[in-house]
Amino acid sequence: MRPAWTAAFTPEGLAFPTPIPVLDEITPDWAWGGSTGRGVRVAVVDSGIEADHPALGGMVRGGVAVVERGGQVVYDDGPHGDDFGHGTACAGIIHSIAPEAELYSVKVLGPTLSGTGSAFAAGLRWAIEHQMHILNLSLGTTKREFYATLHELADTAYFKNTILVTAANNFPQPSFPSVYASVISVACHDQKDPFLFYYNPAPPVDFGAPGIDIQVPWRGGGYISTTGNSFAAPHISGIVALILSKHPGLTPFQVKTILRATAWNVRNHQLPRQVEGGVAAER
Amino acid sequence: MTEDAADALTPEALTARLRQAEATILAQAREIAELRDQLADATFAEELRQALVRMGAAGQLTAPVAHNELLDLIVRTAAHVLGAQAASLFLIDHETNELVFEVALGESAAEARRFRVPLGEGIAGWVAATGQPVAVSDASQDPRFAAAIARSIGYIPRSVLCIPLRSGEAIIGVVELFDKANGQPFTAADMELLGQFASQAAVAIEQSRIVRDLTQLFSAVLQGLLPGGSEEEALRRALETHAAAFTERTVQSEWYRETLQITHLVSEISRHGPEARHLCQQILASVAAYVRSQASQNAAGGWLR
Repeated sequence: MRPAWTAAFTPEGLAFPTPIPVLDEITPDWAWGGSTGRGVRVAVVDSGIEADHPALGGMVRGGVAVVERGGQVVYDDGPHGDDFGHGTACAGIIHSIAPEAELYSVKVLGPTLSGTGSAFAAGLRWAIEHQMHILNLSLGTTKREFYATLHELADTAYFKNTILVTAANNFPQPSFPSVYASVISVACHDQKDPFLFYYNPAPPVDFGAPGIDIQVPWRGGGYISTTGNSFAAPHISGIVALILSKHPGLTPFQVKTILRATAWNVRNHQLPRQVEGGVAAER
Repeated sequence: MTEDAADALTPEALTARLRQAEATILAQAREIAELRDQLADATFAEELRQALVRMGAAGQLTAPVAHNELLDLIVRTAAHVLGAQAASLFLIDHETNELVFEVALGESAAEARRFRVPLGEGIAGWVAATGQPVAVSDASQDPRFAAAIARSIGYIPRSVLCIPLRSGEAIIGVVELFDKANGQPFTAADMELLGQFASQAAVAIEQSRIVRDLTQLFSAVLQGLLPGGSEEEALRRALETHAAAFTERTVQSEWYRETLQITHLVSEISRHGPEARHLCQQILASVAAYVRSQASQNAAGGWLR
Protein backbone atom coordinates (compact mmCIF):
# COMPACT_ATOMS: atom_id res chain seq x y z
CA MET A 1 0.00 0.00 0.00
CA ARG A 2 1.63 3.26 -1.17
CA PRO A 3 0.99 6.34 -3.30
CA ALA A 4 -0.84 5.60 -6.53
CA TRP A 5 1.16 4.20 -9.45
CA THR A 6 4.02 3.02 -7.25
CA ALA A 7 2.94 -0.64 -7.09
CA ALA A 8 4.82 -1.28 -10.33
CA PHE A 9 8.05 -0.56 -8.51
CA THR A 10 7.68 -2.90 -5.52
CA PRO A 11 9.59 -6.21 -5.40
CA GLU A 12 6.32 -8.00 -6.28
CA GLY A 13 5.26 -5.62 -9.02
CA LEU A 14 8.54 -4.92 -10.76
CA ALA A 15 8.68 -6.11 -14.39
CA PHE A 16 11.89 -7.17 -16.09
CA PRO A 17 11.34 -6.24 -19.75
CA THR A 18 13.29 -7.90 -22.52
CA PRO A 19 16.48 -6.03 -23.37
CA ILE A 20 16.90 -4.94 -26.98
CA PRO A 21 20.43 -6.05 -27.92
CA VAL A 22 21.35 -2.90 -29.84
CA LEU A 23 20.08 -0.75 -26.99
CA ASP A 24 22.24 -2.76 -24.59
CA GLU A 25 25.16 -0.72 -25.86
CA ILE A 26 23.58 2.25 -24.21
CA THR A 27 25.03 2.09 -20.71
CA PRO A 28 24.71 4.58 -17.87
CA ASP A 29 28.36 5.39 -18.42
CA TRP A 30 27.75 6.13 -22.11
CA ALA A 31 24.58 8.05 -21.31
CA TRP A 32 25.80 10.36 -18.56
CA GLY A 33 29.24 9.25 -17.33
CA GLY A 34 31.36 12.30 -16.52
CA SER A 35 28.49 14.72 -17.16
CA THR A 36 27.65 17.54 -14.76
CA GLY A 37 24.65 18.97 -16.58
CA ARG A 38 26.66 21.97 -17.80
CA GLY A 39 24.88 24.00 -20.45
CA VAL A 40 21.45 22.54 -19.75
CA ARG A 41 18.59 24.79 -18.60
CA VAL A 42 16.07 23.20 -16.24
CA ALA A 43 12.88 25.05 -15.32
CA VAL A 44 11.25 24.07 -12.05
CA VAL A 45 7.57 24.92 -12.51
CA ASP A 46 6.41 25.00 -8.92
CA SER A 47 6.05 27.19 -5.81
CA GLY A 48 9.22 29.18 -6.57
CA ILE A 49 12.81 28.47 -5.57
CA GLU A 50 14.70 29.89 -2.61
CA ALA A 51 17.67 30.86 -4.78
CA ASP A 52 20.17 31.39 -1.95
CA HIS A 53 19.55 28.01 -0.32
CA PRO A 54 22.98 26.42 0.26
CA ALA A 55 21.78 23.18 -1.37
CA LEU A 56 21.47 24.92 -4.74
CA GLY A 57 25.08 26.08 -5.10
CA GLY A 58 24.03 29.41 -6.64
CA MET A 59 22.80 27.70 -9.81
CA VAL A 60 19.44 29.51 -9.96
CA ARG A 61 19.90 31.70 -13.02
CA GLY A 62 16.50 33.30 -13.43
CA GLY A 63 12.83 32.72 -13.80
CA VAL A 64 9.44 34.29 -13.63
CA ALA A 65 6.49 34.45 -11.27
CA VAL A 66 3.03 34.05 -12.73
CA VAL A 67 0.74 36.38 -10.79
CA GLU A 68 -2.88 37.43 -10.98
CA ARG A 69 -3.60 41.13 -11.42
CA GLY A 70 -7.14 42.36 -11.89
CA GLY A 71 -8.34 38.90 -12.85
CA GLN A 72 -5.57 38.58 -15.46
CA VAL A 73 -2.68 36.15 -15.34
CA VAL A 74 0.53 38.13 -15.91
CA TYR A 75 4.29 37.54 -15.73
CA ASP A 76 6.39 39.22 -13.06
CA ASP A 77 10.11 38.91 -13.71
CA GLY A 78 11.20 40.48 -10.42
CA PRO A 79 12.87 38.26 -7.82
CA HIS A 80 10.64 35.85 -5.89
CA GLY A 81 11.01 33.26 -3.16
CA ASP A 82 9.33 29.98 -2.35
CA ASP A 83 6.06 30.18 -0.43
CA PHE A 84 5.90 26.51 0.38
CA GLY A 85 9.36 24.91 0.13
CA HIS A 86 8.28 22.40 -2.51
CA GLY A 87 9.97 24.09 -5.47
CA THR A 88 13.20 24.45 -3.48
CA ALA A 89 13.05 20.73 -2.70
CA CYS A 90 12.69 19.81 -6.37
CA ALA A 91 15.48 22.21 -7.41
CA GLY A 92 17.72 20.76 -4.69
CA ILE A 93 17.23 17.21 -5.94
CA ILE A 94 18.02 18.24 -9.53
CA HIS A 95 21.13 20.13 -8.40
CA SER A 96 22.35 17.19 -6.32
CA ILE A 97 22.37 15.06 -9.49
CA ALA A 98 23.32 17.65 -12.13
CA PRO A 99 25.40 20.21 -10.18
CA GLU A 100 26.22 22.39 -13.19
CA ALA A 101 22.75 22.48 -14.74
CA GLU A 102 21.21 25.97 -14.76
CA LEU A 103 18.05 26.23 -12.71
CA TYR A 104 15.13 28.52 -13.55
CA SER A 105 12.23 29.10 -11.21
CA VAL A 106 8.80 29.34 -12.81
CA LYS A 107 6.52 30.19 -9.91
CA VAL A 108 2.93 29.19 -10.57
CA LEU A 109 1.83 28.57 -7.00
CA GLY A 110 1.42 31.04 -4.20
CA PRO A 111 -0.93 32.37 -1.57
CA THR A 112 -3.01 34.30 -4.10
CA LEU A 113 -2.93 31.78 -6.91
CA SER A 114 -4.17 28.69 -5.11
CA GLY A 115 -2.96 26.55 -7.96
CA THR A 116 -5.13 27.78 -10.80
CA GLY A 117 -4.80 25.83 -14.02
CA SER A 118 -4.42 29.02 -16.04
CA ALA A 119 -1.38 30.11 -14.01
CA PHE A 120 0.09 26.65 -14.50
CA ALA A 121 -0.47 26.81 -18.26
CA ALA A 122 1.03 30.32 -18.40
CA GLY A 123 4.11 29.07 -16.55
CA LEU A 124 4.54 26.17 -18.97
CA ARG A 125 4.19 28.52 -21.94
CA TRP A 126 6.85 30.85 -20.54
CA ALA A 127 9.30 27.99 -19.97
CA ILE A 128 8.76 26.53 -23.44
CA GLU A 129 9.13 29.93 -25.11
CA HIS A 130 12.29 30.69 -23.12
CA GLN A 131 14.19 27.72 -24.57
CA MET A 132 14.36 25.61 -21.46
CA HIS A 133 15.70 22.12 -22.15
CA ILE A 134 13.83 20.41 -19.33
CA LEU A 135 10.67 21.32 -17.40
CA ASN A 136 10.30 19.66 -14.03
CA LEU A 137 6.58 19.44 -13.29
CA SER A 138 6.09 18.00 -9.83
CA LEU A 139 2.50 19.15 -10.03
CA GLY A 140 -0.44 18.96 -12.38
CA THR A 141 -4.14 19.55 -12.48
CA THR A 142 -7.04 17.11 -12.39
CA LYS A 143 -9.39 19.70 -13.90
CA ARG A 144 -10.60 18.48 -17.27
CA GLU A 145 -11.17 22.02 -18.51
CA PHE A 146 -7.38 22.34 -18.83
CA TYR A 147 -6.98 19.06 -20.71
CA ALA A 148 -6.79 20.60 -24.17
CA THR A 149 -4.68 23.65 -23.25
CA LEU A 150 -2.09 21.54 -21.48
CA HIS A 151 -2.14 18.90 -24.21
CA GLU A 152 -1.34 21.54 -26.80
CA LEU A 153 1.49 22.90 -24.63
CA ALA A 154 2.88 19.40 -24.10
CA ASP A 155 2.87 18.80 -27.86
CA THR A 156 4.51 22.19 -28.51
CA ALA A 157 7.22 21.26 -26.03
CA TYR A 158 7.67 17.86 -27.63
CA PHE A 159 8.14 19.34 -31.10
CA LYS A 160 10.67 21.84 -29.73
CA ASN A 161 12.69 19.08 -28.04
CA THR A 162 11.79 20.37 -24.61
CA ILE A 163 11.59 17.47 -22.18
CA LEU A 164 8.64 17.52 -19.78
CA VAL A 165 9.29 15.43 -16.68
CA THR A 166 6.10 15.10 -14.65
CA ALA A 167 5.18 13.58 -11.31
CA ALA A 168 2.30 11.09 -11.44
CA ASN A 169 -0.66 12.03 -9.28
CA ASN A 170 -0.37 10.61 -5.75
CA PHE A 171 -4.02 9.62 -5.96
CA PRO A 172 -5.22 7.05 -8.47
CA GLN A 173 -6.84 9.55 -10.81
CA PRO A 174 -5.49 11.14 -13.99
CA SER A 175 -3.74 14.48 -13.69
CA PHE A 176 -2.61 16.58 -16.59
CA PRO A 177 -0.08 16.65 -18.16
CA SER A 178 1.31 13.54 -16.44
CA VAL A 179 -0.95 11.15 -18.39
CA TYR A 180 0.01 12.45 -21.84
CA ALA A 181 2.18 10.22 -24.04
CA SER A 182 4.58 13.04 -24.87
CA VAL A 183 5.85 13.53 -21.32
CA ILE A 184 8.07 11.47 -19.03
CA SER A 185 5.85 10.47 -16.11
CA VAL A 186 7.46 9.45 -12.82
CA ALA A 187 6.25 7.81 -9.60
CA CYS A 188 8.33 6.93 -6.54
CA HIS A 189 10.00 3.76 -5.30
CA ASP A 190 11.47 3.23 -1.85
CA GLN A 191 15.14 2.91 -2.81
CA LYS A 192 17.55 5.66 -1.79
CA ASP A 193 20.22 5.69 -4.48
CA PRO A 194 19.50 8.80 -6.56
CA PHE A 195 20.68 7.11 -9.76
CA LEU A 196 18.56 4.02 -9.31
CA PHE A 197 15.43 4.21 -11.43
CA TYR A 198 13.05 1.63 -12.82
CA TYR A 199 11.32 1.45 -16.18
CA ASN A 200 7.58 0.66 -16.20
CA PRO A 201 6.37 -1.10 -19.35
CA ALA A 202 2.72 -0.36 -18.41
CA PRO A 203 2.01 3.35 -18.98
CA PRO A 204 0.95 6.07 -18.22
CA VAL A 205 3.76 6.07 -15.65
CA ASP A 206 7.11 5.54 -17.38
CA PHE A 207 9.70 5.48 -14.60
CA GLY A 208 10.11 4.99 -10.85
CA ALA A 209 12.68 7.01 -8.88
CA PRO A 210 13.38 7.70 -5.18
CA GLY A 211 10.61 9.60 -3.37
CA ILE A 212 9.82 7.83 -0.11
CA ASP A 213 11.14 9.42 3.07
CA ILE A 214 14.01 11.25 1.41
CA GLN A 215 15.81 14.32 2.70
CA VAL A 216 15.30 17.47 0.64
CA PRO A 217 16.12 21.17 1.04
CA TRP A 218 13.17 23.28 2.18
CA ARG A 219 12.49 27.00 2.53
CA GLY A 220 14.30 28.92 5.24
CA GLY A 221 17.63 27.27 4.39
CA GLY A 222 16.63 24.03 6.10
CA TYR A 223 15.95 20.44 5.13
CA ILE A 224 13.06 18.06 5.72
CA SER A 225 12.41 14.39 5.05
CA THR A 226 9.40 13.83 2.90
CA THR A 227 7.44 11.40 0.73
CA GLY A 228 5.62 11.78 -2.58
CA ASN A 229 5.79 11.29 -6.35
CA SER A 230 6.72 14.99 -6.43
CA PHE A 231 10.22 14.14 -5.32
CA ALA A 232 10.71 11.25 -7.75
CA ALA A 233 10.30 13.43 -10.86
CA PRO A 234 13.29 15.74 -10.12
CA HIS A 235 15.58 12.70 -9.88
CA ILE A 236 14.72 11.88 -13.48
CA SER A 237 14.98 15.58 -14.46
CA GLY A 238 18.50 15.59 -13.02
CA ILE A 239 19.52 12.47 -14.93
CA VAL A 240 17.99 13.86 -18.15
CA ALA A 241 20.04 17.05 -17.59
CA LEU A 242 23.20 14.93 -17.41
CA ILE A 243 22.22 13.06 -20.58
CA LEU A 244 21.38 16.23 -22.55
CA SER A 245 24.58 17.90 -21.40
CA LYS A 246 26.64 15.01 -22.73
CA HIS A 247 24.50 14.47 -25.85
CA PRO A 248 23.03 17.83 -26.88
CA GLY A 249 20.09 17.90 -29.27
CA LEU A 250 18.44 14.61 -28.31
CA THR A 251 14.69 14.46 -28.91
CA PRO A 252 12.17 13.49 -26.22
CA PHE A 253 11.68 9.99 -27.65
CA GLN A 254 15.44 9.43 -27.81
CA VAL A 255 15.76 10.51 -24.19
CA LYS A 256 12.98 8.11 -23.19
CA THR A 257 14.73 5.30 -25.05
CA ILE A 258 18.01 6.03 -23.27
CA LEU A 259 16.25 6.08 -19.91
CA ARG A 260 14.61 2.75 -20.67
CA ALA A 261 17.93 1.20 -21.71
CA THR A 262 19.66 2.42 -18.55
CA ALA A 263 16.87 1.60 -16.07
CA TRP A 264 17.88 -0.78 -13.29
CA ASN A 265 15.29 -3.45 -14.05
CA VAL A 266 16.09 -3.50 -17.77
CA ARG A 267 19.84 -3.86 -17.22
CA ASN A 268 19.89 -6.14 -14.22
CA HIS A 269 16.81 -8.37 -14.32
CA GLN A 270 16.87 -8.66 -10.56
CA LEU A 271 16.02 -6.51 -7.58
CA PRO A 272 18.77 -4.21 -6.32
CA ARG A 273 20.91 -5.62 -3.53
CA GLN A 274 20.20 -3.88 -0.24
CA VAL A 275 23.29 -2.54 1.46
CA GLU A 276 23.62 -0.38 4.52
CA GLY A 277 22.30 3.08 3.94
CA GLY A 278 20.80 2.31 0.55
CA VAL A 279 21.63 0.00 -2.32
CA ALA A 280 24.65 -0.87 -4.37
CA ALA A 281 23.48 0.58 -7.65
CA GLU A 282 25.20 0.36 -10.96
CA ARG A 283 26.17 3.83 -12.09
CA MET B 1 20.81 -42.05 28.50
CA THR B 2 19.50 -43.76 25.37
CA GLU B 3 21.44 -43.77 22.10
CA ASP B 4 18.86 -41.51 20.49
CA ALA B 5 19.18 -38.96 23.27
CA ALA B 6 22.94 -39.04 22.99
CA ASP B 7 22.66 -38.48 19.22
CA ALA B 8 20.41 -35.53 19.88
CA LEU B 9 23.17 -33.83 21.88
CA THR B 10 25.87 -33.92 19.18
CA PRO B 11 26.93 -30.46 17.95
CA GLU B 12 25.54 -31.25 14.46
CA ALA B 13 22.16 -32.28 15.83
CA LEU B 14 22.02 -29.25 18.11
CA THR B 15 22.91 -26.92 15.25
CA ALA B 16 20.25 -28.50 13.09
CA ARG B 17 17.65 -28.13 15.84
CA LEU B 18 18.71 -24.54 16.41
CA ARG B 19 18.30 -23.80 12.69
CA GLN B 20 14.89 -25.43 12.75
CA ALA B 21 13.85 -23.41 15.79
CA GLU B 22 15.08 -20.22 14.14
CA ALA B 23 13.13 -21.02 11.00
CA THR B 24 10.00 -21.68 13.06
CA ILE B 25 10.41 -18.41 14.95
CA LEU B 26 10.91 -16.55 11.68
CA ALA B 27 7.86 -18.17 10.12
CA GLN B 28 5.79 -17.34 13.20
CA ALA B 29 7.00 -13.77 13.23
CA ARG B 30 6.00 -13.46 9.60
CA GLU B 31 2.61 -14.96 10.34
CA ILE B 32 2.09 -12.61 13.27
CA ALA B 33 3.02 -9.63 11.12
CA GLU B 34 0.59 -10.77 8.42
CA LEU B 35 -2.19 -11.30 10.93
CA ARG B 36 -1.50 -7.89 12.42
CA ASP B 37 -1.75 -6.30 8.97
CA GLN B 38 -4.97 -8.12 8.24
CA LEU B 39 -6.36 -7.08 11.60
CA ALA B 40 -5.36 -3.49 10.99
CA ASP B 41 -7.07 -3.56 7.61
CA ALA B 42 -10.19 -5.16 9.04
CA THR B 43 -10.33 -2.67 11.93
CA PHE B 44 -9.84 0.19 9.55
CA ALA B 45 -12.53 -1.03 7.20
CA GLU B 46 -14.96 -1.42 10.09
CA GLU B 47 -14.14 1.98 11.58
CA LEU B 48 -14.43 3.62 8.22
CA ARG B 49 -17.76 1.92 7.61
CA GLN B 50 -19.11 3.06 10.98
CA ALA B 51 -17.82 6.56 10.48
CA LEU B 52 -19.48 6.79 7.09
CA VAL B 53 -22.77 5.45 8.41
CA ARG B 54 -22.70 8.14 11.07
CA MET B 55 -21.67 10.77 8.54
CA GLY B 56 -24.56 9.74 6.33
CA ALA B 57 -26.84 10.15 9.33
CA ALA B 58 -25.28 13.52 10.13
CA GLY B 59 -26.09 14.70 6.63
CA GLN B 60 -29.80 13.99 7.06
CA LEU B 61 -31.33 17.28 7.95
CA THR B 62 -29.77 19.01 10.88
CA ALA B 63 -27.87 22.24 10.58
CA PRO B 64 -24.53 23.69 11.78
CA VAL B 65 -24.17 21.58 14.92
CA ALA B 66 -24.19 18.36 12.94
CA HIS B 67 -21.77 19.88 10.45
CA ASN B 68 -19.20 20.59 13.16
CA GLU B 69 -19.73 17.18 14.69
CA LEU B 70 -19.07 15.64 11.32
CA LEU B 71 -15.74 17.49 10.97
CA ASP B 72 -14.83 16.43 14.48
CA LEU B 73 -15.68 12.83 13.70
CA ILE B 74 -13.59 12.85 10.53
CA VAL B 75 -10.51 14.11 12.38
CA ARG B 76 -11.03 11.69 15.25
CA THR B 77 -11.44 8.66 12.99
CA ALA B 78 -8.44 9.52 10.83
CA ALA B 79 -6.20 10.10 13.86
CA HIS B 80 -7.36 6.93 15.56
CA VAL B 81 -6.94 4.70 12.52
CA LEU B 82 -3.38 5.84 11.83
CA GLY B 83 -2.42 6.14 15.51
CA ALA B 84 -1.66 9.87 15.32
CA GLN B 85 -1.05 11.90 18.50
CA ALA B 86 -2.79 14.97 17.17
CA ALA B 87 -4.70 16.11 14.12
CA SER B 88 -6.37 19.11 12.58
CA LEU B 89 -8.75 19.95 9.78
CA PHE B 90 -8.85 23.13 7.70
CA LEU B 91 -11.45 24.11 5.13
CA ILE B 92 -10.61 26.51 2.31
CA ASP B 93 -12.27 29.89 2.00
CA HIS B 94 -11.84 30.48 -1.72
CA GLU B 95 -13.00 34.08 -1.44
CA THR B 96 -10.17 35.15 0.85
CA ASN B 97 -7.68 32.42 -0.18
CA GLU B 98 -7.37 31.31 3.41
CA LEU B 99 -7.39 28.05 5.27
CA VAL B 100 -10.02 28.20 7.99
CA PHE B 101 -9.08 26.12 10.98
CA GLU B 102 -12.10 24.03 11.98
CA VAL B 103 -11.12 21.18 14.25
CA ALA B 104 -8.07 20.10 16.22
CA LEU B 105 -7.49 16.99 18.21
CA GLY B 106 -4.76 16.36 20.74
CA GLU B 107 -3.81 16.96 24.33
CA SER B 108 -3.33 20.69 23.93
CA ALA B 109 -5.57 21.34 20.93
CA ALA B 110 -6.63 24.92 20.41
CA GLU B 111 -9.74 26.11 22.21
CA ALA B 112 -10.43 28.89 19.76
CA ARG B 113 -11.99 27.62 16.56
CA ARG B 114 -11.98 29.09 13.10
CA PHE B 115 -8.69 31.00 13.08
CA ARG B 116 -7.41 31.60 9.57
CA VAL B 117 -4.06 31.27 7.87
CA PRO B 118 -3.20 32.39 4.35
CA LEU B 119 -3.40 29.60 1.81
CA GLY B 120 0.27 30.01 1.07
CA GLU B 121 1.54 28.78 4.41
CA GLY B 122 3.89 25.84 4.29
CA ILE B 123 2.91 22.27 3.71
CA ALA B 124 -0.85 22.66 4.25
CA GLY B 125 -0.83 25.51 1.73
CA TRP B 126 0.97 23.39 -0.84
CA VAL B 127 -1.46 20.52 -0.35
CA ALA B 128 -4.47 22.84 -0.58
CA ALA B 129 -3.11 24.50 -3.71
CA THR B 130 -2.09 21.37 -5.58
CA GLY B 131 -4.36 18.68 -4.19
CA GLN B 132 -1.33 16.46 -3.65
CA PRO B 133 -0.61 14.85 -0.27
CA VAL B 134 2.73 15.32 1.48
CA ALA B 135 4.33 13.37 4.31
CA VAL B 136 7.10 15.12 6.25
CA SER B 137 9.14 13.55 9.01
CA ASP B 138 10.89 16.57 10.52
CA ALA B 139 8.47 19.43 10.24
CA SER B 140 10.18 21.50 12.94
CA GLN B 141 12.76 22.43 10.28
CA ASP B 142 10.23 24.79 8.74
CA PRO B 143 9.70 27.47 11.40
CA ARG B 144 6.83 29.32 9.73
CA PHE B 145 4.99 26.08 9.14
CA ALA B 146 5.70 24.92 12.67
CA ALA B 147 4.22 28.13 14.09
CA ALA B 148 0.95 27.61 12.21
CA ILE B 149 0.68 24.06 13.48
CA ALA B 150 1.58 24.98 17.04
CA ARG B 151 -1.31 27.41 16.96
CA SER B 152 -3.76 24.62 16.22
CA ILE B 153 -2.48 21.70 18.27
CA GLY B 154 -0.42 23.51 20.90
CA TYR B 155 2.99 22.02 20.17
CA ILE B 156 5.48 21.51 17.34
CA PRO B 157 5.24 17.97 15.98
CA ARG B 158 8.03 15.91 14.43
CA SER B 159 6.13 14.19 11.67
CA VAL B 160 3.17 15.34 9.60
CA LEU B 161 0.92 13.72 7.04
CA CYS B 162 -1.14 16.22 5.11
CA ILE B 163 -3.93 15.12 2.76
CA PRO B 164 -6.31 17.20 0.64
CA LEU B 165 -10.08 16.95 1.00
CA ARG B 166 -11.34 16.65 -2.54
CA SER B 167 -14.89 17.00 -3.74
CA GLY B 168 -14.94 16.23 -7.44
CA GLU B 169 -12.36 18.49 -9.03
CA ALA B 170 -12.42 21.02 -6.19
CA ILE B 171 -10.21 20.92 -3.13
CA ILE B 172 -12.29 21.94 -0.14
CA GLY B 173 -9.76 21.55 2.67
CA VAL B 174 -6.90 19.59 4.20
CA VAL B 175 -6.54 17.08 7.01
CA GLU B 176 -3.26 16.95 8.89
CA LEU B 177 -2.13 14.16 11.18
CA PHE B 178 0.80 14.61 13.56
CA ASP B 179 3.26 12.19 15.21
CA LYS B 180 2.50 8.50 15.06
CA ALA B 181 2.28 6.72 18.40
CA ASN B 182 5.37 4.57 17.72
CA GLY B 183 7.51 7.60 16.85
CA GLN B 184 7.95 6.37 13.27
CA PRO B 185 7.44 8.67 10.28
CA PHE B 186 4.18 8.38 8.33
CA THR B 187 4.55 5.84 5.55
CA ALA B 188 3.44 5.70 1.96
CA ALA B 189 0.78 3.21 3.10
CA ASP B 190 -0.54 5.76 5.61
CA MET B 191 -0.74 8.28 2.79
CA GLU B 192 -2.82 5.95 0.68
CA LEU B 193 -5.10 4.96 3.55
CA LEU B 194 -5.76 8.52 4.66
CA GLY B 195 -6.24 9.51 1.03
CA GLN B 196 -9.05 6.99 0.63
CA PHE B 197 -10.62 8.14 3.85
CA ALA B 198 -10.32 11.82 2.91
CA SER B 199 -12.11 11.38 -0.40
CA GLN B 200 -15.12 9.86 1.40
CA ALA B 201 -14.93 12.51 4.10
CA ALA B 202 -14.94 15.32 1.54
CA VAL B 203 -18.15 14.00 0.01
CA ALA B 204 -19.76 13.90 3.45
CA ILE B 205 -18.60 17.46 4.20
CA GLU B 206 -20.01 18.76 0.92
CA GLN B 207 -23.32 17.02 1.56
CA SER B 208 -23.53 18.39 5.04
CA ARG B 209 -22.54 21.88 3.90
CA ILE B 210 -25.25 21.89 1.25
CA VAL B 211 -27.84 20.86 3.80
CA ARG B 212 -26.64 23.54 6.20
CA ASP B 213 -26.63 26.29 3.56
CA LEU B 214 -30.00 25.36 2.15
CA THR B 215 -31.45 25.21 5.65
CA GLN B 216 -30.15 28.72 6.27
CA LEU B 217 -31.51 29.94 2.96
CA PHE B 218 -34.96 28.45 3.49
CA SER B 219 -35.21 29.77 7.03
CA ALA B 220 -34.32 33.21 5.70
CA VAL B 221 -37.01 32.88 3.01
CA LEU B 222 -39.55 31.77 5.60
CA GLN B 223 -38.70 34.69 7.86
CA GLY B 224 -39.21 37.01 4.93
CA LEU B 225 -42.67 35.58 4.32
CA LEU B 226 -43.93 37.07 7.58
CA PRO B 227 -46.77 39.59 6.99
CA GLY B 228 -45.72 42.78 5.27
CA GLY B 229 -43.29 41.42 2.70
CA SER B 230 -43.83 39.88 -0.71
CA GLU B 231 -42.57 36.43 -1.64
CA GLU B 232 -40.17 37.71 -4.27
CA GLU B 233 -38.84 40.37 -1.96
CA ALA B 234 -38.16 37.66 0.63
CA LEU B 235 -36.29 35.49 -1.85
CA ARG B 236 -34.30 38.44 -3.10
CA ARG B 237 -33.31 39.45 0.44
CA ALA B 238 -32.35 35.89 1.38
CA LEU B 239 -30.26 35.47 -1.73
CA GLU B 240 -28.54 38.77 -1.09
CA THR B 241 -27.68 37.73 2.44
CA HIS B 242 -26.28 34.41 1.35
CA ALA B 243 -25.08 35.49 -2.07
CA ALA B 244 -21.37 35.33 -1.40
CA ALA B 245 -21.38 31.79 -0.08
CA PHE B 246 -23.74 30.67 -2.80
CA THR B 247 -21.88 32.25 -5.67
CA GLU B 248 -18.68 30.64 -4.52
CA ARG B 249 -20.19 27.20 -4.20
CA THR B 250 -22.40 27.27 -7.25
CA VAL B 251 -19.30 27.94 -9.30
CA GLN B 252 -17.51 24.99 -7.74
CA SER B 253 -20.23 22.43 -7.34
CA GLU B 254 -22.55 20.87 -9.87
CA TRP B 255 -24.61 19.79 -6.91
CA TYR B 256 -25.31 23.42 -5.96
CA ARG B 257 -26.02 24.49 -9.49
CA GLU B 258 -28.56 21.72 -9.97
CA THR B 259 -30.18 22.30 -6.60
CA LEU B 260 -30.54 25.99 -7.39
CA GLN B 261 -32.01 25.20 -10.80
CA ILE B 262 -34.65 23.05 -9.13
CA THR B 263 -35.39 25.90 -6.70
CA HIS B 264 -35.79 28.31 -9.62
CA LEU B 265 -38.15 25.96 -11.46
CA VAL B 266 -40.31 25.42 -8.40
CA SER B 267 -40.37 29.14 -7.80
CA GLU B 268 -41.42 29.81 -11.42
CA ILE B 269 -44.17 27.18 -11.39
CA SER B 270 -45.47 28.44 -8.04
CA ARG B 271 -46.14 31.83 -9.56
CA HIS B 272 -48.69 30.31 -11.99
CA GLY B 273 -51.46 29.91 -9.45
CA PRO B 274 -52.73 27.17 -7.15
CA GLU B 275 -53.29 24.54 -9.91
CA ALA B 276 -49.71 24.72 -11.14
CA ARG B 277 -48.47 24.60 -7.56
CA HIS B 278 -50.58 21.56 -6.83
CA LEU B 279 -49.36 19.72 -9.94
CA CYS B 280 -45.74 20.57 -9.17
CA GLN B 281 -46.15 19.36 -5.61
CA GLN B 282 -47.63 16.04 -6.78
CA ILE B 283 -44.89 15.43 -9.33
CA LEU B 284 -42.13 16.26 -6.86
CA ALA B 285 -43.75 14.04 -4.22
CA SER B 286 -43.78 11.11 -6.67
CA VAL B 287 -40.16 11.70 -7.64
CA ALA B 288 -39.16 11.91 -3.99
CA ALA B 289 -41.00 8.66 -3.19
CA TYR B 290 -39.27 6.93 -6.11
CA VAL B 291 -35.84 8.24 -5.10
CA ARG B 292 -36.42 7.12 -1.51
CA SER B 293 -37.34 3.60 -2.60
CA GLN B 294 -34.25 3.40 -4.81
CA ALA B 295 -32.07 4.71 -2.01
CA SER B 296 -33.27 2.06 0.44
CA GLN B 297 -32.67 -0.66 -2.16
CA ASN B 298 -29.13 0.54 -2.68
CA ALA B 299 -28.46 1.18 0.99
CA ALA B 300 -26.00 -1.71 1.24
CA GLY B 301 -23.80 -0.27 -1.51
CA GLY B 302 -24.57 3.37 -0.85
CA TRP B 303 -21.80 5.75 -1.76
CA LEU B 304 -19.18 3.49 -0.24
CA ARG B 305 -17.95 2.48 -3.68
